Amino acid sequence: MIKKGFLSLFIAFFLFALVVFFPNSWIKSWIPEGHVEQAKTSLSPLVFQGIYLQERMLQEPNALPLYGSSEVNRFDPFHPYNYARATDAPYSTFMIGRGGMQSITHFLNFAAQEENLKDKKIVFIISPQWFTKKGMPELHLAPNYSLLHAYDLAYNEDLDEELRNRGMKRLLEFNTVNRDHLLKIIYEYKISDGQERKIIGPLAVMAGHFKKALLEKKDLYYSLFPKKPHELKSNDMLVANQTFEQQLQNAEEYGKKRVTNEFMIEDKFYKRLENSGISRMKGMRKNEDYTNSPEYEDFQLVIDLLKDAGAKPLFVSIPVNGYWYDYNEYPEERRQKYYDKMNQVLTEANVDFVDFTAHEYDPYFIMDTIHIAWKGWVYLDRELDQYWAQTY
Amino acid sequence: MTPYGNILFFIIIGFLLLPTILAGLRGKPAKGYNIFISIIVLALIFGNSLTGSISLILFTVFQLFLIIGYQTYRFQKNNSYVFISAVLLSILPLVLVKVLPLLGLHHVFGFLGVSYITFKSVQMIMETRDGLLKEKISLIELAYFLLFFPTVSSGPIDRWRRFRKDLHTVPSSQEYQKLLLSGINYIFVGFLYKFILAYLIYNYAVVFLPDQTYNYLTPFQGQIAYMYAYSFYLFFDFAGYSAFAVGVSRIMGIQTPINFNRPFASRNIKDFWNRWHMSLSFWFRDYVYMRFVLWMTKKKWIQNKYTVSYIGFFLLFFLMGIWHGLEWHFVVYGLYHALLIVSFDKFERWNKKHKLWPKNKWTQAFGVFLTFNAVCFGFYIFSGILF
Repeated sequence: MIKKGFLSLFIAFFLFALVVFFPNSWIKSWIPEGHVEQAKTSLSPLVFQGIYLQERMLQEPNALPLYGSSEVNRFDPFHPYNYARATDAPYSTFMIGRGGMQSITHFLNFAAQEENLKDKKIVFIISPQWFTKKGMPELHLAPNYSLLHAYDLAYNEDLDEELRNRGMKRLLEFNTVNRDHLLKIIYEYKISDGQERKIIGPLAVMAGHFKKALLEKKDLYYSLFPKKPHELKSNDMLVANQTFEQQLQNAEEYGKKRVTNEFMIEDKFYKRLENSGISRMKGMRKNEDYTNSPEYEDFQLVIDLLKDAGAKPLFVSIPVNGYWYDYNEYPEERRQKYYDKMNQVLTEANVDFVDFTAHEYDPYFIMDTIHIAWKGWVYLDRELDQYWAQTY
Repeated sequence: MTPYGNILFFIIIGFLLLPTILAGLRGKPAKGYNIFISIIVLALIFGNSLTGSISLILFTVFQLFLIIGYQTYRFQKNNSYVFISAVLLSILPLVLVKVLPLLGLHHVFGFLGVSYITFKSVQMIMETRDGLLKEKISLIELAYFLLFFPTVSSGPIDRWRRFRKDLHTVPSSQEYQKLLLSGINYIFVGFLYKFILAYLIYNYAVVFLPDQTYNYLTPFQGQIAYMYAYSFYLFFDFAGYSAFAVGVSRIMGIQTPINFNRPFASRNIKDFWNRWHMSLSFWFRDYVYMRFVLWMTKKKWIQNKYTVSYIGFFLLFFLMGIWHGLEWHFVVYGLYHALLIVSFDKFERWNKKHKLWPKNKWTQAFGVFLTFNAVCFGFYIFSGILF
């Protein structure tokens, strides 16, 4: 019995060592094109927090990625992915974003893809609700933060040093990051340019290399087993060979079938709100103000990084659902102040952007409380077509 | 470095334990070497904070003097006031650690594991009083017992006489192989519990509860889900940690008692406390409850033996509650369990007379269900989310 026990133990150790020391190039050769295709619509956090599959997607010459938060999974016939495929557009989109992903997580991801972003056209959707008083909450960072990206940042030599330090400093403000003693020491050592943590710093940098290598391997293993693609809900007839006006008309009809409440919120989602008590949400945003938030600095990190990488981003400023926010008692004038501020930030940054914020009371532009869909997508699709055709 | 906190800790103790394992497999003692590596691991655990290290050293020296001093005294005399003073002195540092933060003096004194060392120390003074510790205690062995690194931060709480016996027994090669295998097995159970199950429950459920469910749950449903998710998280996290402590102890030839024995399968609340955080509840049973009951019986202040027992339960759970911290929810948690135990005891006695509640597999299943829910509600209070 004892001998058998030890034998199984040795086998376990052997298998473990095999998994850890397996050559990366072999694993890569087992990741077929199909997996990359699947990753475009799987919206899997493992892809968002990884590097390899995103790299493969970005390297496709006609890739036009959409970065944002949970709106990117609002698939309907007008969603940019379905639209591009149905209309044989010269580009094809893939989506990086889910609930709780905000500027800082995108910053980390972009940093990890810095070399693949050169001259790349990408779309970045900015959500107003990120810009709360406290900015990125710990609760949203923890499930969306990628250890791999965070370690990669410390060793990223392509990145402008000042920008990298600014990013690391910001990350050290989060508990999630501070709990990782090794990473904390590496960051502090690198930020101070070797002046702090003089003794343990270099050791931590060495140990960090191993950790990073392990995380990279983990990313490759995850890439071997991709998540199922999202249900696309495509209907080519509503977009292919239709003029822009017809598409708007189709989107309006599509939305009309799905909304029967005064807040212009899709019924399925509205049910969820009812379930948790609509009256509770009356006045819940009385004191919110999106013009004053640490998120602005995080967002500046994103802008600066994309410039540093030489990418050609198109930013999209979207509104909230006016009807719903009125009920939440976040007044229209105060919302307008945020829209103006965002417009100003983007203008001053001298980047390409589209401003959809005049659509906050436009029915079916927004499908729930904050997410654009339906008509919103139709407007965005037109912008994407133009943006892709634009030459620099 | 937090014990059992990350893979690095396991790699370090893995290397340090290699000579221990080799000696064990050859049937040779490794006591001296084990004491030596204990010092290294303690330095790793406490080394990051200077005040922490100094506090630990001073505290340990204080407890050593107290135990040896009281034993030396006890060889000659047996005055109750000296005994009580010794016990009070022994728990004084722990009381200070708990009370000082309330007075705004944070971080003056206090470190990982202060309560677990105190439990061991109090236990020795009480057993000395009872005349159970007749042999002279070696200072080094005593320090090794108090600071035994696998259990230093959060138990399980071992007993001196048991520990000492293990320390003086050199297992044969065959016996050691069994110990080693079960030790490694415990460590891997710990990995499963703490780094897989507790991790998943925490990151995929607890963090979103009770009110960050993106409106998928009503506020009430959110609270209920939180109650169960938190209970399971608490169990797997702590049981995982305890399994590491037991596993590493075994590799070092010490059979530290287990802390959990399928607590969620308990048939009633008494059964639960024999299965949940066992080393702590047994400690409170032996050194608080039993002492109290014996003392009351001797003094005959209260005639009714059930009343004595119930007061004993309230005392036990009240102390256990505030030991977790001087917060209202911990006090209420303790009193809640005292109430459950007393109610169950009354029910059991009532049923003995009337025999209305039969004993079959259906009533047993109902008992498990009821106990599980009552216990989860207890953890819900314990989590501090209510108040």
